[in-house]
Amino acid sequence: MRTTISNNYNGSAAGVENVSGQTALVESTIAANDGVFIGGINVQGGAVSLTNSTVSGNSGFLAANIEASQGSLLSLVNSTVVNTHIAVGAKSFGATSMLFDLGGSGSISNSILSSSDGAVNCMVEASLLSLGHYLSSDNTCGLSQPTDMNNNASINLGLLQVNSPGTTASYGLLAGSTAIDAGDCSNGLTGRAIITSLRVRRCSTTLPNMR
Amino acid sequence: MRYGGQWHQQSFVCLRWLRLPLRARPISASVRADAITPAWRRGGCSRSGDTVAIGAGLYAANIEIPANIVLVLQGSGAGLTFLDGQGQGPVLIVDAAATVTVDSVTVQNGGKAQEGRQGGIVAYGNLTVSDSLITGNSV
Repeated sequence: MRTTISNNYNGSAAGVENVSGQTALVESTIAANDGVFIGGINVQGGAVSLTNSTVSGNSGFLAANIEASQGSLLSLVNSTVVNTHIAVGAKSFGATSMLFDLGGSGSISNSILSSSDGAVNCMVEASLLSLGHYLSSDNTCGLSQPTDMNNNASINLGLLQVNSPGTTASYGLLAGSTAIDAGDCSNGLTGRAIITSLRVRRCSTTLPNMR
Repeated sequence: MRYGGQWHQQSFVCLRWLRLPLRARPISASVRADAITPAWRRGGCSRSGDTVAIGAGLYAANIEIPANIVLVLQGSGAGLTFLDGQGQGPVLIVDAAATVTVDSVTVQNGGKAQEGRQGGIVAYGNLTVSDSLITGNSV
């Protein structure tokens, strides 16, 4: 909780490698890690959940930010995954932010996936479920709940920085962001109306790391 | 480094950490250099269930918490308490069936494969990390 995992280098997964059991990342930031295969989080097995968290700017050959392997479970709630590896290293195979292997599974709700410079958000060989209010810069995750927004070019994230009262780095939303007022009001997320200076209003799609 | 076992039916673990020179770290001058817990004073041995308070400073740490130990490692802040693996293996290994909480520390410079274990923190047991920074770890 409220932990930053950054600038690590590792063979298989630089940031977090979950072999078994459960790992919960809450109000945390996993950024700028450099793995040979996976940059941010490798869910080899077991279950990893990210809540109110940010995964950004990691680099790896198979997946820049997250891989969910066979038999694993990944959950993203109120979180933001940003793929910037093309700009920082261009190491990722297929320029993929998140890789869901056959037999892995995942769910995404009230979260943002954003990639730049031609990188794609997802390579999905597995079961991936949207629980709604998913906002993506492309349509590669194949999610299509009524409240989802794919191919969205106006997510308009600010800089990755600590936004008070949060204590770990997160992205605010800039003017004109389609995430503003596009989130889920019913999931108990607190503090989402705090950062008015960042133009984040109530029920925004994500307010990563905010309390 | 660790030495663990049972004494009078009570599980314990002895943590051997070396306090390093502070180098150029922005350590608060107001924190005493010997800001340590009673457990530390009695030779670094803690009983299961203890909270080990770690004062501000830079510590060489390659520690392993054995099975069936419940321990809280309580730092003084991620910008104040630095646990440094010095490239000699993971900073912290949590064995299966151990339960460890790490709070308010920076875990850094863990690395170099050691019996197949690598990185900053390797958890086979139950691990909770909060208000901390894990950075600069490698293989």
